[in-house]
Amino acid sequence: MKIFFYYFQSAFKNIWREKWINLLTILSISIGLLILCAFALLSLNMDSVLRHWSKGFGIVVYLDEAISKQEEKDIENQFLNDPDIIKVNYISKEQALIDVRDTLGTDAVILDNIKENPLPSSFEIKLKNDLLNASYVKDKSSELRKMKSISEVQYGEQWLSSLNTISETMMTGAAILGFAIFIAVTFITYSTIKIFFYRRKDEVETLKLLGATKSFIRVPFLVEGLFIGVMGGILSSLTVFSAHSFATLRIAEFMPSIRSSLAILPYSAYIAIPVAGALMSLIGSYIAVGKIRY
Amino acid sequence: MISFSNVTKAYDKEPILKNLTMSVDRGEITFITGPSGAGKSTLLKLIYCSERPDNGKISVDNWVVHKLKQRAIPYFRRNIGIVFQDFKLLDNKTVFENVALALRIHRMDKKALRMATHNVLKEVKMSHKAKDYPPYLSGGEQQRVVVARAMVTKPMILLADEPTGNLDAENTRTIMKLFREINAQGTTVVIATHNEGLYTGSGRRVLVIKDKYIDREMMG
Repeated sequence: MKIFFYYFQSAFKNIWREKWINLLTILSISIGLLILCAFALLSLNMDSVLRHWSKGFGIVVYLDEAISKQEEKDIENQFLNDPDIIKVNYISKEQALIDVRDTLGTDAVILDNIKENPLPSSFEIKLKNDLLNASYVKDKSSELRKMKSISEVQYGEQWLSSLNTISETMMTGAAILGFAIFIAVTFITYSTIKIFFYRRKDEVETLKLLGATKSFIRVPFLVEGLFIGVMGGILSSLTVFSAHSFATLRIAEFMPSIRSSLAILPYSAYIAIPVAGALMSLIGSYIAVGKIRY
Repeated sequence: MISFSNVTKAYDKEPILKNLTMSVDRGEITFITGPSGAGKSTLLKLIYCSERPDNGKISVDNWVVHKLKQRAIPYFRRNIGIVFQDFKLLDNKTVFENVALALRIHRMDKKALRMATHNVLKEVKMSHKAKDYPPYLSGGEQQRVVVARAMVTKPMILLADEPTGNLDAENTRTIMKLFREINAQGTTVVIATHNEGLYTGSGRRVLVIKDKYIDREMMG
């Protein structure tokens, strides 16, 4: 315990001694993490929009002309028991015609001369949100098409595919950016701690001669790196939180509609950012100190 | 206590010590002398394991130094106090902190650490400068602090590499007196020097390195 007190005391003395270079490193790390947060916020908002759009997505299953009421009931039961399907809506031939008339509005007069209703009865089904990817919906449609008394299955294939592409692009972008920021923050800390290590080379040599263990030499440098990372993360968290507060309080004043559609970072993220900064910096510091040989 | 058996050490294939055999007994003050570049410092480095021999065997007390693993070196070095010509004090630490550092490495508790540090500073007559930083001390004062740092852990061996190289006659006498006092407490002292004045008339054993090995042994 006492030795940990020494490690921290020694590290904080050095942090204070090199305060300007440390401040610069903290700012650089916070900018890196801020970029990551901004992208995370952008992704969250995009995801929120995509989810909103996908709420309206459904598959329309058209039934055969000659289908009996019992067969319709059987198909409906089959859909209701399917764990992938969350909503089933039956549209009779008559209802379909009414819907078309509503859609056509004043042009509905063109339907007046039609003696027999040509529209088939159908089911509109909604799949679970997490199943709304192009390949799954395609497979599901093929499966439905093979069922008895079903003549046609339709869904917005192109639309769903575009939605998936946007979502995948955002995910890939987030992964690449996250990795790039990880490398950048690790490298920034690595460079700073490497400079400190070289500046204190004589001190390290003296410690070795006095019989200091590797951990006795290494830990103060790791504590410095940890501090830099945590401070960078806290600064970044505070900036994001302030920006978010400003956005919700001030911008929403002028554009009230934005308040409901504005996605925010979960509170756990404000803790996760300094933790991520600490982890990245710790790795950078560890590499910077390197192997200690006597 | 210290034993070298057919030790050879070369830098860039150029041997500096060749088939060197020697021993130092417990409780002795031994001088290693020879011209500049004879290998006096290398011999000390081989003792505290800063250099490894290319051939031969080295043992210090019960430690087989030539086979010592990296992780064992710091624990081995805690038995040795080292005094250098260039002091190797940490400029950003006070005199007290510099001396106490050796005890921190030994994980001594705070109260005992304070007491031991104050006592050793009193012994080397540096108590009044405990809060000063090394750059503000004279060469003689700095060397007394180094000696205090080396002796505060009560090591079994004290190695000194040209300890008076940067000192005037009066400070040289003070440092040598301190070495005798440390030796009187049971510490084996090995001093590498090219200054004949240090050992002449001392009545101590002197090992002369010449042509890469111990050429002769005499009494100072």
